[in-house]
Amino acid sequence: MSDKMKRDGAMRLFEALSSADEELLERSEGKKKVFSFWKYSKVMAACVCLVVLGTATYATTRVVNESGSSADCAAPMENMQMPKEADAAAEDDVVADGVAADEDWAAVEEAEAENRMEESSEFIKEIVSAENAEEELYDYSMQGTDGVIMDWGPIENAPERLDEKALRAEEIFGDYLPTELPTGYIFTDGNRFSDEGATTGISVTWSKGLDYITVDVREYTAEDSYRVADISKPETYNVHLYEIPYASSVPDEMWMIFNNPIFRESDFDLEIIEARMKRVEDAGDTDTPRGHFTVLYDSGVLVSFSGKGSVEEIWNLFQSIKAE
Amino acid sequence: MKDTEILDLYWARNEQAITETQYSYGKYCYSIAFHILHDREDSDECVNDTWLRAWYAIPPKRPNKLSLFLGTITRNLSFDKWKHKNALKRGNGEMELALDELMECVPAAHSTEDAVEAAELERLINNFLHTLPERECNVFLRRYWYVEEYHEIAERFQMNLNTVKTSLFRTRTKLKAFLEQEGIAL
Repeated sequence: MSDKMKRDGAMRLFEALSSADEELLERSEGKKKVFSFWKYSKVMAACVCLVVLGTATYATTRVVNESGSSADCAAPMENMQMPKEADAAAEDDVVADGVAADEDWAAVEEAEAENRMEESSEFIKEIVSAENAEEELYDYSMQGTDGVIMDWGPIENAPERLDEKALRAEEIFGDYLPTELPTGYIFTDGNRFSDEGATTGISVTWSKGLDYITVDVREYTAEDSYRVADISKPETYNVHLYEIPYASSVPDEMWMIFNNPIFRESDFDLEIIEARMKRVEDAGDTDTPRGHFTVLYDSGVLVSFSGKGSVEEIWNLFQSIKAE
Repeated sequence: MKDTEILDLYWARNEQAITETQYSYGKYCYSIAFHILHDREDSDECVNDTWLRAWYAIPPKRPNKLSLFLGTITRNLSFDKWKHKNALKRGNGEMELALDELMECVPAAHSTEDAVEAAELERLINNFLHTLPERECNVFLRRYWYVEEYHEIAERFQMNLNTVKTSLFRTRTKLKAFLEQEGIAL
């Protein structure tokens, strides 16, 4: 089917949607996020309570001290029934002791008030951070083989390790894993990426000694559009035109595509693989050609290859994908 | 002013109906138009045409939900204008992306089949939408009826961006399968 026919079909679908049931359209309005005063007022309420409590406690304590200290001084004096001709010095001592006691108590109370304020500050901080944590996305980033930093969102969306069988059973994406691999490769690692329970992509690595092949499968999005290569412009994707390090040799304006180009399924062939694979002299490693690229299937699925292999091996690998 | 009161003005052929409609639904209709056209002047034009169309449609119509009635008119007018502007060249913007995505849903053509009639396609699309879980249907409509951007949809339903994308991907796949199962040729 030609692109024009598909486009006409898409426009017909778009027009047909105009008659979508009103109840469905109304339901799609959803609920817009409203600033919840009550959510944030928990913090404010906590602050107010602590301040009031702290103030009340401090004030009460001071009142008790002020009335209690004079009473304490007075009571002993009354109870002592000292003779009128009591030793003024002794009396002074008692008063001095009372004053000293007052001062000591004030210092203690001040220290305790400071502690309470510190504790309440810590407490408030805990409340705030706990509330913030509910809304804050944990920036759990991982760079996929296609070079794109992938933000997985909250920690519960962290990749899930699965075996090859489970990954092949994944709806839609599993069908895009190759069924034939070069001789000697064995499964070594596999992950399923998800968001709120829904699979957003899968990744599988097979290895043979120092050689490896990693295949990532996910959905094409509009954000990938800038990486779709024009095969009539080999300077944007052919690694043989540049020297390593590529970051120095590849012109800036081509870097975004060159770093990991996406080839349309209709453009993808042995020549494209040849253009993306290169032997690298690397001490301690094999000289198997290595490279990476991505293929965009008509279904909207992206299959990214990263690893080593001959052009024929990689071509056969892609040909073994059963989904198409 | 309530919808029933506005409709009464239409039925009474009181031109105040247009003023009240504009006041109540001007922004709503403009938003629909702008999502499709991404052009202020064109969007204003479509919105103004919407009031005119509504004036001639009511009566005899008395829509149950005035906002959706008006929104549909705006959507259709905007899409017609978009088609006219982009007849010769591929345009940019969200409308273009939405259509690119819907292209994935077009079933493979069979030369012996005639293209389905518009009314039948509308009926089938509605049947399909009713088979979808609520959230999936909502996301699909926000994207392909309202042409909202991914982040707008994510914000509206408090979803993660990737979840929106995955949901739409799955629904498009389902739609294609549904149309193929129904033997539909577009």
